[in-house]
Amino acid sequence: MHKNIELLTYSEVEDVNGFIGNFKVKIRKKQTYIDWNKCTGCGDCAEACPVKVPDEFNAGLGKRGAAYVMFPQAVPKKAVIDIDNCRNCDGRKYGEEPRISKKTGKPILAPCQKACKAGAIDRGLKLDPNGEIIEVEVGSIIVATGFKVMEKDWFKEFAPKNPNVITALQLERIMSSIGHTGGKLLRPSDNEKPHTITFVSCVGSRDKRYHTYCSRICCMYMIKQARLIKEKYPDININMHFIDVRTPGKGYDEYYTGAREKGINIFKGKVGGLEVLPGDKLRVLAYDMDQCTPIEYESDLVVLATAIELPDGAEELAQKLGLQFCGSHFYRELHPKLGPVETSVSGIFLAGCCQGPKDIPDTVAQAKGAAAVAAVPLAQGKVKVEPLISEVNVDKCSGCGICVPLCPYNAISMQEYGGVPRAEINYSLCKGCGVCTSACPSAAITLHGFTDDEIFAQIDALTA
Amino acid sequence: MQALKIDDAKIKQAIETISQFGGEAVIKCVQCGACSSVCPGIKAGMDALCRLLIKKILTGQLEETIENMSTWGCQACNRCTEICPQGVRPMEIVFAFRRYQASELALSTSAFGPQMSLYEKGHAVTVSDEAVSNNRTKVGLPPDPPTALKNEQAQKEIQTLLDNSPMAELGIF
Repeated sequence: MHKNIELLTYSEVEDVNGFIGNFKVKIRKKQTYIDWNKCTGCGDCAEACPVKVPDEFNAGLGKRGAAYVMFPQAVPKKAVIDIDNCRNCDGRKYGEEPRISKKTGKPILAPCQKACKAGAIDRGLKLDPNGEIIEVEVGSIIVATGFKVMEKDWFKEFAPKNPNVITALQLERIMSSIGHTGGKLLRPSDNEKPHTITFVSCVGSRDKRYHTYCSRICCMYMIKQARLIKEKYPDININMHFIDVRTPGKGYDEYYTGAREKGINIFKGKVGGLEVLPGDKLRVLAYDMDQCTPIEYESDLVVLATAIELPDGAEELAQKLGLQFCGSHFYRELHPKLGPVETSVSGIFLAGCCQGPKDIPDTVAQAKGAAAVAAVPLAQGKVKVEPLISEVNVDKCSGCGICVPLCPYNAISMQEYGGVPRAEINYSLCKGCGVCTSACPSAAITLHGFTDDEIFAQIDALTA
Repeated sequence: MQALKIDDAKIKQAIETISQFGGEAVIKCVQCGACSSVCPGIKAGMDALCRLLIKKILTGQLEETIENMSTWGCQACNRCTEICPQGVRPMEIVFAFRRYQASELALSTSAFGPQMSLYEKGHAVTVSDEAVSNNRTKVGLPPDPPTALKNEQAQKEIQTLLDNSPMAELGIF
């Protein structure tokens, strides 16, 4: 890794203070309970751990231990102990002295500690469960939270309790060579190969009851999954149901027409529901728009392309960073056309699905744009500030402090001036919204460009 | 099949007509077809329900569709309303179209008898008064049912209601 890059995984942003060029970020490094300086990521502790809980990385389909490595390509490849699920096999809590065996006179150790050849696990250590808080100073921040997909439980019409109804992300894990099936296409209910697979698009997207926006990537990833399955198992019947197929982008439509040529059945018309049949079958109730006819058939596996949303915790992060949300509940960019990576907070930039649903090429393009625009103030060492911002006349200011909590950008602080507190506006943070100007009882704050004289002059000019 | 001519004035008029009859949400339809995939009427062979009916309205084909009797096959199960992602309430559209059809007397002649019976007796479908009394006595009930059937006061009230409803304009009674 490059010497200028420091990677903090298993960490969370606790607090952000300051402004462009001078951010102070408090980061909580969560307690791993394993010494990462010694851990080699071999996975012996994960194998030894008797706990079996649903594996987040495999979208809940597989199982992992309480001691685990997130996934084989994790960077850095280190194990952690999920203390909430730890069973304390050695009969003591983490941080207590081991019990001594009466038979052997040796301390009783948990399987994970015994299995670790690197000696990275010492369950006798007194570790702070809250982890460690570090503070870093940065000039600019790029927010890239990623996304989550809606759970199938929201959609009662699609038999969410049936194990053979899965989200597309779960199918991705089933098809993955490092997934819980080892890359074999097996359906969850009986671990058998399905003969008919149904893809349902626009589940939770383009739907007033959930999200009105188009999740944008589903058409393409469903076609990708269908093609991969069809290429590997030509005998599997694949039926795909779209409201309409949206494949804009370089080479995308060719990829879609190629899917038709491979014998994948494509229907336009939203699936209305699923009926659970005996024998692990599902009846699909669909519609063929082109022939104006309802479709009914039996399917072994139904894949729902559920909508993309902001991940859990993104709201809290937005509060810490002072970010705003747009109507579709993603982070709001500064301007939809001219400021697609900037935010209303100078020095904080967006990349990827936190700004709106987007595919990999778009995410990479936006991330590179964000990296470039974030580097500009760091390289220049100075920033341009908008001229239409507010300024405090310290001689008029009474120091009442009314303006401080009103400022949506946290730009106002109280500073000592001639022995008394007076409001001060940070020019890098002020956006010129005028809230403080209109609220100030002493009329001590001027919003440049919008003084009474200037506004009256405009009225005079308009009404002359 | 004759090519469809798209006439904006005709489309506007069709949407206005259906909106007046209670189908204002027709313009929200994005033609996804979810309603038609669950509609039992369509599976029973009645084509112009749900999506297709809305498409006909949105292309201004009111007169071309008025003789289609599919709409009377709607059982008001409301599965379409439940599934619709755009809040169109397709069943309401079907009912609005029925009202449009009725306003033009485009309904089956067999519907007139029950309407007249409703006006006179307060029941759309009934057997003779005598048969009703006999059946009720057989199972140990009072001969007169607690409905409008033998109650002139109630029948008058129903007639007043119907006389003041859009139904009266059809001139069936």
